[in-house]
Amino acid sequence: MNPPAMVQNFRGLRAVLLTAAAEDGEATRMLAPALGRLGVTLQRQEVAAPLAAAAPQPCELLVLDGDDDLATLLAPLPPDWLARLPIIGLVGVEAPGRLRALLQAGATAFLRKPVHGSAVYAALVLGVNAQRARQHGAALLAEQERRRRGRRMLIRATLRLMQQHALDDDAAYDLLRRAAMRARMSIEDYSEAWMAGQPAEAPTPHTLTTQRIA
Amino acid sequence: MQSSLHRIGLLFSTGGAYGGPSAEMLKGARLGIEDANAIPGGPRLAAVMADPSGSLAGYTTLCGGLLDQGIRHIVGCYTSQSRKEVIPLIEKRDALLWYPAHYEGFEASPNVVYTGAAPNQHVVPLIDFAARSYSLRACCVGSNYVWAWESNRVLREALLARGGRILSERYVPLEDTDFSQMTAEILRLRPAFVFSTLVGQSSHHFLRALRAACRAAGIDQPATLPVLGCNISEVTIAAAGPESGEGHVSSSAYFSTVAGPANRAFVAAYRARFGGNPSADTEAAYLTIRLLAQALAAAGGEAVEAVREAVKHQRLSAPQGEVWIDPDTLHAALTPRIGRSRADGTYDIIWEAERPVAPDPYLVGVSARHGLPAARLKVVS
Repeated sequence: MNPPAMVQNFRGLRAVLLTAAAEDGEATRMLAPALGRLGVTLQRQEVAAPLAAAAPQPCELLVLDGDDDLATLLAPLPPDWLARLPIIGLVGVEAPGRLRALLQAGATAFLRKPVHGSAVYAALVLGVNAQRARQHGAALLAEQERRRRGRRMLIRATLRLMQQHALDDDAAYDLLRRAAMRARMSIEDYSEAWMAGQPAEAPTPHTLTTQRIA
Repeated sequence: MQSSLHRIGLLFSTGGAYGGPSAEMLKGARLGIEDANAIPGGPRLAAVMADPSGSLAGYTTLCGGLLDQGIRHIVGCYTSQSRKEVIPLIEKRDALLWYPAHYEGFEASPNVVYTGAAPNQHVVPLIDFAARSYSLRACCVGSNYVWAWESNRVLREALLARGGRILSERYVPLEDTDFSQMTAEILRLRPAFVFSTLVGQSSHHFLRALRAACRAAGIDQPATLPVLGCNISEVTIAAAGPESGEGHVSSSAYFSTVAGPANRAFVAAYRARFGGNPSADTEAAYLTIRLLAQALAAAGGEAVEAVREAVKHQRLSAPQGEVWIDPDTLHAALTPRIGRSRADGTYDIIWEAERPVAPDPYLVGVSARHGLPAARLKVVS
C-alpha cells in the first residue's frame, strides 16, 4: 500500500463552511475569494445547532469555526463522514479548549481569524494532505490488524501441514506461501480458507518440490 | 484641470548579483514616469529612489524608509527573496507593492499588484515548446533560491508526466560565475536541452562557459544542447557577447522585436535614452508605472483601497500588447512568447499566443496532476 501522492491542485473541490447562524462572516470574508483563486468553491452553511434537520451540502472539504459549539453542531453527523473529509479549523479564541474541539473534530490545518488570503493555500495543502496521510495510516493499521487476527489460522495451517507431510515449520510455511501466491491471496486469508476447506488446490509437498527443481 | 502630484517609491538594486536586470527595470520605470507625466491632465509622478544593491536587509530598511515618508505605492523588487522580505512591511502598513518581475507564482497578497509573468505565462509555454521540439531529457541549472526551485519543480512534474526525465538538477549561489564543473557534467550527460533558471551575472557566465566547452568538444551547442529559460533576456544575451549569445531559447511576455507601433515607440525612446535594447524587465516596469498612473487617475488619489479597486478595471496598450489586471489575483494578463536569440542581441519570435493569457499563479487551470481523486462524498445516514 503506497503512501498517497501529495495533492497540490484543488481545482473543482467543494468546500463547506459550517458555522453558527449568528456569525456575521466578516472574519471569513477573505476565505471565499482566496479559495476561488485555487479553483475551490465555498458554500457557507449557517446552521442553528443542532444540525439534525439540515445535513451539510455534498463537499470534499469542511471548514469549521473553533469558536462555535462544535460538539453540539457536529453531534448529529456520522463520525465516519467527518473522518473522510479534510477539515480546516478557524481559530479565533486560542484557548486550549477551543483548539481541542477542532482537533477532536479532525482538523488537520488551521487558519487564524480574521482569515488572511495568502495563508489559505498553505492551509489547504497541509489540511488535505495531512488528512490523506492520516487516512492512509488508518487503512494500513486496519489491514495489519486484520492480518494479525489471521495469524492464528496461519499457525494452525502450518501445524497441520507439518503433521500431514512430516515437514519442518520452514518448509510448511514455504508451502503455504507459494500456494497463497498461486491463489493470489494473502497467506493469512489462504490459510483461513484452506482450513475451512475452500480452495480447490491444497498445498502439497509435490508442488513444493516441483517449484524447487524448476 | 489641475494635475495631482504623487510620490512613487522605486525600490530597485542597480548593483549586486542581479543588478543588471534590476537596473533595466529602473530604466523602464523612468520611461514610464516620463510618458505618464506627459499625459495632459493626468497625475504627475515623482520618483523617490531606493537602491538596496542586492542586500536583503537593505530592502527592509529602505522599504520602511519609503513608507515612513508617507509613500503608499512602491514599484520594485526583482527576486522573490526580496519581494518576500518586504511584503510583511507592506501589508502591515497597508501600502501597495507593484512587482514587475516574472516569478514562480503561488502567491497572491492583497497588497501586491503582480505585473510580471506568472508560471502559466512563461514556464508552462516553454515546457509546451520543449515538448514539441525536443526529446524530454533535460539538465536543470539554477540560482539557489525559490525561483529556480519552484520553476524546476514545475518542469520536473510536467516532464515526468510526459515520460521525460531530468538528468541533473544543479544550483549555485546567486553571485556564482564559475560553471566549469556544471558544463562538464552537461557535456557528459548530453541532455536534449538545458533549462536555466540562473539569474543576473550567473546567467551570462553560464552561457559563455557552455558555449566555450561545446566549442572545445566540437559540439554545435545551439543545435544539440540548446539552453532554454524564462529569464534569458536581451540584457543577458548582450552580456554573454556575440560569440555566446546567439541561439538560446527564451520564454517571455516581451521581446524588443515585438511588432506594433506601441513597441516601436517604446524601443525608439529606450534607444534614444539609454542605447541598446530593452528587455522584458524594462517593459514590465514601464507598463507597471503606466498602469499605476491610470489607476491613480481613476481612483482620484493615492488611497490604497481605492487604487487597488481601480487597477482591476484598467487596460493598457503596452509595448507587448493589451495588458490588464485580473481582479481575483491582482496578477496581469500578458501575452506569452517564445524567442530564439540572435547574434545582434535581439530575439526572433518563433511563437506567440494569439491573445493575452489570464494569469494563473497557482496553476489551477494548467494541470489536473496532483489533484484530488474525483470522489464525491455525501451524508448517507
